[in-house]
Amino acid sequence: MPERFEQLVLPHLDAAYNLARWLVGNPADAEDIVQEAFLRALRFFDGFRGGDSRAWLLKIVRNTSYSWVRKNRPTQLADEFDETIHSDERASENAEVKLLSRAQSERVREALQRLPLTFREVLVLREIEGLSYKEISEVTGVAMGTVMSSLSRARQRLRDQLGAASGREA
Amino acid sequence: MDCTLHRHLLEAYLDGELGFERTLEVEAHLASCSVCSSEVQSWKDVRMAMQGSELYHRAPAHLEANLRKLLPQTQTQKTPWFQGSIWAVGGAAFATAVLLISFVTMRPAGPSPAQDIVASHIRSMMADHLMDVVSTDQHTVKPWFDGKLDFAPPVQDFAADGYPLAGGRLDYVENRKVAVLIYHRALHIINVYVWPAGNNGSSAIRTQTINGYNVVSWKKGGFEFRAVSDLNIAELRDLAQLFMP
Repeated sequence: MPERFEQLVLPHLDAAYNLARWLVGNPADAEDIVQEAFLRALRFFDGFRGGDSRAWLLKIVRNTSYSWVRKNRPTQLADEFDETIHSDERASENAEVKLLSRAQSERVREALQRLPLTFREVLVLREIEGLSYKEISEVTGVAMGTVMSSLSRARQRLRDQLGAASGREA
Repeated sequence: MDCTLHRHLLEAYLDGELGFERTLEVEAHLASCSVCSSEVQSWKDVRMAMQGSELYHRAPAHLEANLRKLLPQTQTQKTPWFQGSIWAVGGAAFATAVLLISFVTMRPAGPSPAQDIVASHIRSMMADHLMDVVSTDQHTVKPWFDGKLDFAPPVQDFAADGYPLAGGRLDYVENRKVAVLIYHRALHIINVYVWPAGNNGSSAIRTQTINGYNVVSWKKGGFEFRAVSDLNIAELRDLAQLFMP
């Protein structure tokens, strides 16, 4: 492995695995995807001209994961666009706010795993991996404004799930 | 409920993506609007739950070992392409990549100090040499540096602010011995490099990003500070602020 690749790309292995693991949902397939993504990364490494190597690698991991999902779990992609019911309306959420105060990791994990792929992805990148809007835009290839609105809808959706899981207040 | 603050503004605030003035604006609003402040609080609660270690899937140890085996192997592999395995295809691609890379890597390189520090940060994560003294107690970490350096670095724990001190070590930056303080932020590791500045002045906080790592620099009380992490810039700046109250 070239030294520069080892220094710039390999340190982001955890980030790569975490993303793949969340996108495909199981350890064995996530490992395959990470291996394939690293091979691709190495192949395209001469095209990498510096900059954010984590975002660069995650973009490859994301594309590899999406190819896998398209092939093996095509239904996951189908429910991507049916989330029009949640507008920017805020008044109704307030009642649910309290329900989250003691949200446990396990409940959050389940709720997150149930979200449509694109929502799950944006939340994992922002909240678990700690990427900025700009980095998320780089990884997913969508505009910053779109990142913000899908993040917003994803949050609302996750919170609805968590609220529903613990029973709503009247 | 007659709040007019746009939801995106609130979320951008939550994500540390607002500029200084906008941040103050939103904070002023939050102080007076219970709808928005409970909104922000509820998301912070979810965020706390998400940043718990159980939700971060770290790569299993054997995966890195596999990759290390896989990647150099493909370099010299003589497996015929028609064996049909993806790894063989990868191997052929790799051979091509190696040729290309050998040209690409011949770049002029006088590393800047910040690059030097990022390289040191990466080494500290890879070589299992993150800490020489492991302690969350500043009164243990500070004396540990005694006699090892020709200066006494300021050592503080910021656990109450969400940045617990984890330990310290010695390192070399630009041919001089420096103190490194290690802090945690959720699952991120932050290395804070400290060495004496030429004078007693202070400076504003500056930020830059190198190879996906964020570097925040400042000067305070006669010391130069560089905080490096894969943590986002906003939260890294917050740590810098704690050093300069």
